Amino acid sequence: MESTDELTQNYPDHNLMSRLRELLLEKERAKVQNLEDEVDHLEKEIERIHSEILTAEEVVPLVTRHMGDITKEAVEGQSSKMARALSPIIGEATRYQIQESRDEMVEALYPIVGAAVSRAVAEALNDLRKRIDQQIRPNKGGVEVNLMNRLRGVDPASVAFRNALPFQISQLFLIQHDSGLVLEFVNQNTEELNDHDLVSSMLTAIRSFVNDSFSPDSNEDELREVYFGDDRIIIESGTVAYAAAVIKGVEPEGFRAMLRMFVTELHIQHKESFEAYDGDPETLPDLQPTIKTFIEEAQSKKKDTSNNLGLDLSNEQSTKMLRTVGIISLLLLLGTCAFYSILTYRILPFAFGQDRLIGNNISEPVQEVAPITIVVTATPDAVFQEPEPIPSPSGTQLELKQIELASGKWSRTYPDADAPQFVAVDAGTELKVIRSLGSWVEAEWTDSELGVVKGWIRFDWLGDNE
Amino acid sequence: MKTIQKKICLLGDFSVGKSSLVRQFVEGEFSDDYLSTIGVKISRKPVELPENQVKMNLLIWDLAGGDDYSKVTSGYLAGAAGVVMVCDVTRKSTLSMVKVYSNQLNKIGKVGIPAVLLVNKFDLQDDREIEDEQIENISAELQCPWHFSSAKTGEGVEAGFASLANLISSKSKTT
Ligand SMILES: Nc1nc2c(ncn2[C@@H]2O[C@H](COP(=O)(O)OP(=O)(O)OP(=O)(O)O)[C@@H](O)[C@H]2O)c(=O)[nH]1
Ligand SMILES: [Mg+2]
Repeated sequence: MESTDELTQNYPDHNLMSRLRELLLEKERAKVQNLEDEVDHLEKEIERIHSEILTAEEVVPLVTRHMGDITKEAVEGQSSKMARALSPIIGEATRYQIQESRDEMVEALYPIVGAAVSRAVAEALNDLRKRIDQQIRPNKGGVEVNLMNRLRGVDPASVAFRNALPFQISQLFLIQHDSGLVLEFVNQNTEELNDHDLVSSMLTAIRSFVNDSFSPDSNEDELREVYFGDDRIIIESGTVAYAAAVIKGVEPEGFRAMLRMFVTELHIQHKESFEAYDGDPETLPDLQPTIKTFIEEAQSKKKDTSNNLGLDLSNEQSTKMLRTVGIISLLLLLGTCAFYSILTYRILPFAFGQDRLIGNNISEPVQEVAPITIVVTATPDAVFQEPEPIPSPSGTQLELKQIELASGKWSRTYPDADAPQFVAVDAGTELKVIRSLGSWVEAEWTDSELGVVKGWIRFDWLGDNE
Repeated sequence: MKTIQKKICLLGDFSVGKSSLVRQFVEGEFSDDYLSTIGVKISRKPVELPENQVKMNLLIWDLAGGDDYSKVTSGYLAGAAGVVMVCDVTRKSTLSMVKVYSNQLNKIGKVGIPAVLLVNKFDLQDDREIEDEQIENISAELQCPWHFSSAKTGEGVEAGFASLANLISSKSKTT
């Protein structure tokens, strides 16, 4: 092959040719060069990207680090959308997780479910306590209690159970009414409560708010109990100070009354110093021992009653007494039933008349039923109809007679007890008996308002005919 | 040094900075966020009064501001040993509200209760609407000392509460 120099020497026109080519292809050459550069650049870029792309293992920690923020932003921005999107997955995931690793799920959920169950149980026990208390109140002690409770339909086992429920006074505050300053505070918990002054102030604020909002005109209605979590604060108020007992579990029956008595006692002894208290504890008596004694008594009362009210169900004496009282009650019951049956039987005729056929006795004037005296008089005139002979129930023939009704009755429109009532006939009214039908007579008389009227009256209302 | 307890209340129109003053005084913090107080918030701060040889545990009742001064607020004021009245130097109307609160105090039998007036938000000088003279007049009328304060910078906050604590302490001594 000839070199360019040889070409130039051998063919003098060659120089010219290449010059011409240069001129003609200069632009295209530059373009080609650019393209080549670009390809180079892209190749380098691909290489760089290749080197930067991570494996899945490398990606996970990077994303995880920001997952929290990403999720938080998504949840905050579009909480409802997120919830809608996630709920089916979460439901499915939970089901799957429970199937796959039940124990782990139990462990994970225990703190939440445990607390919820504990609260629910506490509430249920409290409800049970209230229900039993309502049934067994008022109460004394010993065998009578058991007896009374049984008669009230309370199972002694329930009472025993109620009293066996744990009870503890964790803290007791004595607080000045208005200022909310602590007069005395006893903490039975192992943990210190440094904020007892704040607690008492806040409690006072809540009381003040509730009292002023819900019963502004009454000094009697006030906040008496506050629930928080499993604890309760039972409040009993005196004139210048109130006691707030923070309790756990179920208090013994009568605890509130006991607390009220305690507050009253304290007022009797120290009211002046409570009233004058302006925040200087040196001006106050030391009430720690008194309060501690009270707490002990309340807690031991619980133990006593639970021992007592289990009431030795096997106790022979108790069982014997129960049996005796049971028999006496049964006899009394039978006696009462017999008495009322006889009484009812006796007064039945008075209440409903002798003939049980008379159903409609509602509007019959209830008056003493006395035999009716028939005054036989000469019939002044025979009106309306030809009088028929009147057969008396005893078979005596009656003639048209003028008689007197000894007690008030409702006459009927036709001879039937169920017939519509017509006009009330006062006792002593003179009736002119027109005719009779069975045990009914049709009579005519003068009504004070309606004038002369005619209606049906039962024969036996007229009493014995002489 | 013996410790005594005293209940004090903060009174003033809404948003004058009562809660911010308490927060600055008790926790040494400030926030620009406004979370209006509902009802009452109670905090505690011990103050030493060396000249009286006592440590005073202040139980601070920060009451909700506003002109609907209801019976509930009077309930909260019961048993208070002193009050901090607060107005906002950038809102003239809040100074008149101080008078309204003072009248209410008198109505519920709190005449002569130890009180200080804090003219708050003193850091916002450019927006100032209340002149010294106006404050002097009200302070004389209510017979209570006053201080400029800024819950934001902390200026005058300690001094304001300390001055109330001293007033309460000297009143306790005389009674
Ligand atoms: N610049 C400045 N802003 C303040 C100061 N004190 C309070 N603020 C702001 O004022 C607003 C109201 O403050 P709060 O302390 O909530 O007012 P308040 O008096 O407690 O209000 P209510 O509870 O509604 O009665 C908040 O945004 C605070 O950040 C202050 O000294 N300087
Ligand atoms: Mg506030």
